Amino acid sequence: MLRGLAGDAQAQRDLLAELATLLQRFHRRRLGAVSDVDDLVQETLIAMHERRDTYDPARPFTAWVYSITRYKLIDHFRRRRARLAVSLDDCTDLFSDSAIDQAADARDVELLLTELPERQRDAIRLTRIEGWSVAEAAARTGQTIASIKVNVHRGLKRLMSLRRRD
Amino acid sequence: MHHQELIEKLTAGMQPAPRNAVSRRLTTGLAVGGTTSLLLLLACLGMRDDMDAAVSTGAFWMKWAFVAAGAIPAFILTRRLARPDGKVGRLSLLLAAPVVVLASFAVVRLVGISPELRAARWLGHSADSCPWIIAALSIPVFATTVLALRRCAPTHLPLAGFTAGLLSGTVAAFMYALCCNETEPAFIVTWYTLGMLLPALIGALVGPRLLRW
Repeated sequence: MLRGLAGDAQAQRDLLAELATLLQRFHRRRLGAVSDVDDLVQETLIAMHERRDTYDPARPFTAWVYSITRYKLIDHFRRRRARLAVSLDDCTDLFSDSAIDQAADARDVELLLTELPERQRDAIRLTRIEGWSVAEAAARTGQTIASIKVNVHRGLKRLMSLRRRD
Repeated sequence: MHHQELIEKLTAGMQPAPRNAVSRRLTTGLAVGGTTSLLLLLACLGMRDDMDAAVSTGAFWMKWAFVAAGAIPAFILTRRLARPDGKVGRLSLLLAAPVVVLASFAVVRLVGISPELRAARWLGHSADSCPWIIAALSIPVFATTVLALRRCAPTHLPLAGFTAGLLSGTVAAFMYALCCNETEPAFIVTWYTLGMLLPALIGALVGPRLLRW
């Protein structure tokens, strides 16, 4: 490092090459994706080279290296979080827009609902599937508002226990 | 090694690194900024009329001593934080020393007098403008200090912003003392300190944005 500071280009090249190996290992262990690691290593190397005059020869060299490395790593995380909008194309399997899937889901739900008493089945179908409010569902079924709520709750609980037994 | 190409490019035609680059950048920045704020002061407010008489009073030198006692540690701290591995250390405690000393003088001068007189001494005739003028005068110094720091490698950005702001505040207060004719310790310790802290706090807030590299 000292010879590099004095202007010895070969010494500086050797130093940077050695640092590159260390940085590669250091950043790889903290990042997952390999393409990111290469970018970050290069950025850290550039920082160390261009700001080499901030090194004080009276102080430990490793502390200087480590501080810049950590700063660049944190900066990298900060920037990555800033644009951490995951592309929707990467998670298509979370959503399903095929009509076949939807029809299958609807059939499954109807099948399950037949296992419930009529009052619970109506309460769930109206409020949870057809999207009526609790008050509207009460008016349509002749149940009270309180009993709609209770029936939805009991019905869902029952469905869950049925599913679990399956 | 796949970084070889970059390394070759970086080191091609490289020059010896300047020695003491950090200190030199900061002092250059300080000189340019300080001169600007001095000229600003002379242009807008002028020196106090009784300057000849004032230089033989203790109050005048008390102000400069108080401000310088903050400026010197602020400069050393800023220089430390300009390096990536720079730490604040115990020196930061020294920043409180001038405030504590002057505050005790102030208290001595304020006990046992009537509340009206106490308020008059504390507020002087310029308490409502003093901190603002100091903060305004600090702007050129803050700008040049930030420019100098950006060419160094600070890694604790809010802290570096704070000390840079504090440093510019102390330089501004040093200049302002040429124009201000208040003499009361209570006045100095309150309103000067406020004027110096204002740029420091702003510096801490904007540091992460301005100093990133």
